[in-house]
Amino acid sequence: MKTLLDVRNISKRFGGLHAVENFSFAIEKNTIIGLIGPNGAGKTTAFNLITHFLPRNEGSIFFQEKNLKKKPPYALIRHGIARTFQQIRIFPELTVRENVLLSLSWKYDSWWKSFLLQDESEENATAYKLLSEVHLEKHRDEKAGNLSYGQSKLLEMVRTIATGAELILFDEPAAGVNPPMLNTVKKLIRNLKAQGKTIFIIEHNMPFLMEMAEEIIVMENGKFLCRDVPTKIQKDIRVLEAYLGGS
Amino acid sequence: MIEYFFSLVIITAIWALLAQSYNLSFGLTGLFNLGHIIFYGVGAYTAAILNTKYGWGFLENIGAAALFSGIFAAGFGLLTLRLSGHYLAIATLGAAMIASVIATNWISLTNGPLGIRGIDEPEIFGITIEADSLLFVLLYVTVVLLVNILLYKLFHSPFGRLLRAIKDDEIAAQAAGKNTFKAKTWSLILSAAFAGIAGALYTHYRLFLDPTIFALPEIIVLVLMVVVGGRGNFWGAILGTILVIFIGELPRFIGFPDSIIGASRNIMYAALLIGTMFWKPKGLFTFFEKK
Ligand SMILES: Nc1ncnc2c1ncn2[C@@H]1O[C@H](COP(=O)(O)OP(=O)(O)OP(=O)(O)O)[C@@H](O)[C@H]1O
Ligand SMILES: [Mg+2]
Repeated sequence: MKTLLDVRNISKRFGGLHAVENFSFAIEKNTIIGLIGPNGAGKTTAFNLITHFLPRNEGSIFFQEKNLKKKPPYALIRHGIARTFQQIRIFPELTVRENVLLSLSWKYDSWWKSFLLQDESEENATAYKLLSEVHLEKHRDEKAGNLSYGQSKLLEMVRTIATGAELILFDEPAAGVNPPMLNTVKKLIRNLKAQGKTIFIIEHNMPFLMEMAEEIIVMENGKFLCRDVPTKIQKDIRVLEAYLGGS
Repeated sequence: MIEYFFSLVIITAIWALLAQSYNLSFGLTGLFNLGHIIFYGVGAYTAAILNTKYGWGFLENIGAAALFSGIFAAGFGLLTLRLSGHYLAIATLGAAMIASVIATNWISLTNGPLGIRGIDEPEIFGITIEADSLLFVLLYVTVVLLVNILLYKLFHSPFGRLLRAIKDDEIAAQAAGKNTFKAKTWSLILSAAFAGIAGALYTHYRLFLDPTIFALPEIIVLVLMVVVGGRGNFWGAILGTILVIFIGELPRFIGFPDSIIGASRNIMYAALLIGTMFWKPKGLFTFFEKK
């Protein structure tokens, strides 16, 4: 199988705190990989480093065999790495449809193109399809700020998927989501896999990961602890100790 | 009396354009830029200088003012737009004060505090159009209308949507793959170009220009118009402009003595702002919004 993402020895320090330390792993194309670890283990920070929302102190990241160097986050998304945030980020003052359209249409990002050609019928159709997948199509012309927590989360996921990225990082997609919505989330992720996408998921919800992930990477105190299939991870003594030992 | 009315319409038209241009960067994009009056001033001086030194006419000056203010904003944006929120506000406010100092002291270019006189009235197809005539009103209202149509299209284009997204959450906009710095810079440049046009209109109306165009009260009036009308709403800026000018004229209309006109005007502005904040914090345009 082909390696899609190759993270080599990345580190991030906040003052004296080593949030991520010498962290390395690789992800194969078209897999679903989980990332777990106790609170404060550095999972979200690792996501921020991979997506360049935070600059790393050390290490390098290769995506599709290209060194990402210091590309800004928006450029990485165009390369094919997109993510959601642990603290949901949607555009509350935009409509639900506009939220999705925003990451769908690149062609109108420059003002003069956007000014001359304003036909977005194709994008509108795609947005409708994506929103239907998460049952938000009925709300498409409402302000996104009026959605419930769970709906906002689904919208953020859809907006992230709409970028068309190859690699999609979800930061705790199951947290705070009710059971019917959780099923929607699972379906959404399975669809992505079926389309050939690669999905990397931070999650505390173990049953969810047991069901979804092909492999799980465990972090502890900013460091790589181990990596295996979910059934083995669940019984791994080091993982149990990491969680019970507290940090 | 009719001339007073005409002059009011002309002033309102110029301010409506200036406020709408400000609404693009401050309202729609959420850039807390308090230096917008600089672009208005640069446009006004561009027109005044090109006209008096090189004999350029009204229409060429509109183009030149837009271009100069836009270029000026590009440099200004590269210097300030990495700043956010309050830092941007303070830096741009400082820049407005510096602009005033430069206009006052660069005598060879601006004639300093004495100002530039002898500016030509607009001439269209060989016809000179006199200030406060009906033709003048028609000319100015037409120009402002045309530019506002452009702005309307821009506000409601996908680019406008991107600017609104940046105002909502810039990080999220980056996560959607947008180069937000570039978009903000273009927002500022376009907003400045339109302000430059308003400046050229001012110059060819007043026929006299001095550094007071950069004065602080003008900035406050501008913010007032956009905030009262509703930040980021196209019709809000027009509504805000009309309201603020109307209220500003009230003391004179009622017949207050000259000595208290300025103070009473400020009190009414303050009342308008406070009233809006309490009653319709998102701006008075929401009054007309469908529920
Ligand atoms: N911007 C920051 N500045 C300073 N410290 C930070 C910053 N971001 C994270 N940290 C610290 O880095 C450590 C790792 O945080 P991180 O958010 O990556 O953990 P996490 O594994 O995602 O935890 P959780 O499961 O609770 O979301 C924590 O100690 C956190 O307090
Ligand atoms: Mg986290």
